[in-house]
This record gives sequence, structure tokens and C-alpha cells, in this order.
Amino acid sequence: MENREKTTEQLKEDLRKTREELAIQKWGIEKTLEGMKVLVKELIQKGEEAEKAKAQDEALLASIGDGVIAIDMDGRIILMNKAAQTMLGWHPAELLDKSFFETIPIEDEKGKPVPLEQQPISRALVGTTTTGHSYYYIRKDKTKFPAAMVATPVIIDKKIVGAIEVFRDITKEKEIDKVKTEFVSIASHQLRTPLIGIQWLAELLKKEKLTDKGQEYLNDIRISIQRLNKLVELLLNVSRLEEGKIEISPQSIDVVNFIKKIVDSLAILNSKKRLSLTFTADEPKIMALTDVGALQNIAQTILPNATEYTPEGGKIEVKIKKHGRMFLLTVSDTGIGIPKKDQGRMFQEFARASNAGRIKAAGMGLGLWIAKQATELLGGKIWFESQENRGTTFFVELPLKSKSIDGTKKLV
Amino acid sequence: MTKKILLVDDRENVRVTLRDIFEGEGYTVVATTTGEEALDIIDKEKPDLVLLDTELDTVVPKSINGFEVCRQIKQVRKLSIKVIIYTGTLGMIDAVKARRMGADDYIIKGEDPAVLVKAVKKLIGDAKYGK
Repeated sequence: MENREKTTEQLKEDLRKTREELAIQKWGIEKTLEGMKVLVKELIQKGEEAEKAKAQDEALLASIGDGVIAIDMDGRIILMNKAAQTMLGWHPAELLDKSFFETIPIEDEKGKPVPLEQQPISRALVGTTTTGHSYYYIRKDKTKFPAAMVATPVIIDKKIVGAIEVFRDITKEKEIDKVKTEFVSIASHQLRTPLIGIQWLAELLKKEKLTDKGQEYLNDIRISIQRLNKLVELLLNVSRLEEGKIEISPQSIDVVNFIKKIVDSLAILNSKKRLSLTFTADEPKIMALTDVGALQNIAQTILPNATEYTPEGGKIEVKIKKHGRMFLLTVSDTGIGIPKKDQGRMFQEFARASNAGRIKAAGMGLGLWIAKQATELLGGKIWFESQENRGTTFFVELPLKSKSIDGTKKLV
Repeated sequence: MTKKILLVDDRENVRVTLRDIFEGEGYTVVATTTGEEALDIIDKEKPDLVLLDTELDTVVPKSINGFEVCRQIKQVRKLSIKVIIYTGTLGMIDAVKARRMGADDYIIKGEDPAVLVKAVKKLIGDAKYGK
């Protein structure tokens, strides 16, 4: 009897324990479900946000005025915006997943197809960013247009996964550029003829008997003619460079002597300005096979620039030395310097530093452009370091033996 | 006098966010990083509710975990303090374990604090006593 009661008690106790255990398990399930609800809600929210962000990206892409095309590692087109579609005449659906290189041909100025490895977008696939290249795109209807393009690799987790190209139709710019080149060419040639006439008359006038006042005026006239001559030469060089076909015919000269003469003439010209002008050469003589006209254009830009943009009492150091198969010309000044924001564009045509007008109002912004073109024609490099209000150092590195280039015009 | 909540979490950003939320609701908030410190504060300050993360060893290694703190409150000290386990681990095993240690609620860490605030209010009511 007692035993049986005990068993009943025990059963009751077991039942209570089981119920308690079940309650705990049920609670656990409920709490887990509640937690799942929270997480699912958040996942849905995140999904919606991602959808929204994607829609925003797409809207943004469609509104960009430049053409945008993205390709994957195999060259297949994976994205194309509306502007690209309009310019190229293809509907994105026709091009999606097709090979970029097979469907959108690129030609150079002369109408030759651009080799695959030189195309900006394929260069981007191997990690090179190209900017400022212009080629011709062929539309779906086989007509073509000039385009300036920038291509960059798309990098995810340090791996290149594709490339993206942004391009712009530059038909208008090309036309304007052509008109400008023609204008400069015509204007400079037309200026030259009357100028030679004036110069000749001034030379004749020198032989006439003149009063002191007359001599003084004649002198002023000759200085003005000289300046005008320089300007015309500059313009002529610009138009020659723009038209291309510059001839480079190297001859052997002593560049130490060549630079020294320019430094000496600058010392005389600036005698009133109290500049400290020094010239040092590592060797008494450095013989180089170079084009005198091109070298003249480089030296006659960076040396006079240093004296012009350096205030009274300043210091200019000109150095020249051999450097392997090259020679290095260094011109440092304590002048007004080139502001950081202008430094990137100093070698562009018509570029002037924003602080240049303070010193010299009439600069054209052509000297450095010509110097860079001339340096490159000789196979060299030109660069500078500058700090505003502290000074500038220009470096020109040129080969001791420049290669000759066939052409129709020479730089003077 | 307002009701006091003790936050126990080893992540500072969680403590800062939760402190802002509950102070915003009018509660007094005390916060700490480890299980040991939590028990110390519980003995001294007698909070009304403890919000417990399960893993507490990122800052101080070997700190006792949230389940143990819960067991100490409920089964060893037998205090009437409410306990919510607030964790990033979703799973029935943990939920059941929390219940066995005497936890009053088990909530998954999410971005919406409303769920947590609601659970706290259900257990201890609004911040002011007598309401």
C-alpha cells in the first residue's frame, strides 16, 4: 500500500518534471521563432534597401552625359548607359554579353583599326589606366566619330574583374581645334611678311643721319621688332608642332657652351635687376648630337622664364651634367613659384599659372608646351618641382645622341 | 527614483547604443563589461533588471559568461531581479539553456530596438516606480 502510494507520488513528480521540461522546451522554441522573425524582417529590409540603391545607381548611370561601357575579363559587355547607346547607335539589349572588341570597332586618325593591345579598355583589363586618348568609334551604321576616352580597371578584392570606359564625342572640339591651328598658321605667316619689311627698313634707317632723338626712337623700334619677331617665331613653331611632321636633324655641339651663351645674354639683359645668376657645369665640355632648333626652344623658354618670374635680388642657378647616356639641365630659381593647383596643367597649350599675371601680363602660355614637344622630339623628359612664393626648379633630361626624324619643317 | 537597468556586454558600441535607448526611456542605466563586475554591481546596486550578453570574453578573456551570471542571480543568490539574455546567437539550445538558468526572456540582437524595449517594459514596467 505504502509502496503504491510512493509510486503514485513519484509518478506525479515525474509528470511535473516532464511538464516543466516541456514548458522549457516550448519557451525555447518560442524564443527561437521570435528571434527568427527579427532576423527575417531585417533581411527583407536589407534586400529592399539594396534594390533601392540599385535602382538609384541605374538612374544615375542613365543620366550621365558621357558614354559608359563596362566589360568583364572576357571582354563581354556587361553594362552600357543611355549616352553610350545614343552615340554608338546600338541598343544595349543587342550588345549585352557580346564581345566588346568584336562589335565596337576603334580606328585611329588614319582610319586604321587600333590593335587590341593598344585599345584603352583592353589596357585597363591588364591594370593600366588610360586617360585623354582619342580614337574614332565606328557606329552600328558604319559611320564614325572621334571620341576622347578614359578607361580604368574594375578591382574587387585586389583582383581585376573587368574594365570600365567613359567616353565623349569630341567632333566639335576637333573642328574647333582644326580652325584654330589653321588660324595660327595663317596669322603667323601673314605677320611675318610685313615684319620682315619693317625690319629691313629699320636696318636702312640706321645708315641715315639721325638726330639723337631719332636714334633713340630707332632703337626702340628695333627692340619692338625683335620682340615681335620672337612672338611670330613662337606662333610659327606652335603651328608647325600642331601640324606635325617636324624634322629633327641632330648635329654635334657643346651644350655647356650653348647654355653658357644664353646665361650670359640673360645676365646682360637683367643687369639692372640685381639677380644672382650662376652657371655650373660638371665638365668643361659636354658634346651632344642634338637638334639646335629644338634645344634652343627648350632653353629659351625655361631660362628666361626663371629670370622673368624671379623678383629683384633673387637667385638663379643653372646646372648641367652628364647622366649616363643623357645630360641633365637644371634651372632653379627663388621666384614666385607655380601654385599647386596649376602644376598639373603647366605643359598644356595656353596654360599659365594663376599667379603669372602679377609679374608678366602678356605671356601666352605657349613656351612650356613647345619646350615639352621639343624635349619629346629629342627623346628626353622635362619636369619641374615648385612651391608657391618659394621658387621653381625645372629639369630637362636629353639624350647625348638624339635620333634624327624625317619631316618637312624645322623648329627655329 | 527611477528603475535601474544593468547592461552587461563586452562590446562598447552595444553598451553605448543601449544606454542611449534606455536613458531615453527614463531608466537609470549602469553598464559593465565582464560577468564578475556584473555580479559585484548586482550585489551593491540591486538593479531591477539585468540585460545580459552571453559571450563576455572579448575584452577580458575567461570572464564568466552570461548564463553563469544568470544562474548566480536566479539560483545561487535567488534574487528577484529580472534577467533578459540578449544575444547574437540564434538557436534553441541556447534559448533552453537560458530558461534553465532562470532567464525571464531571451532576445536576438537586431537593429530595431523596439523589440527589446517592449520586452523590458513587459518585465519591469515604465521607468518611474509606482506606475
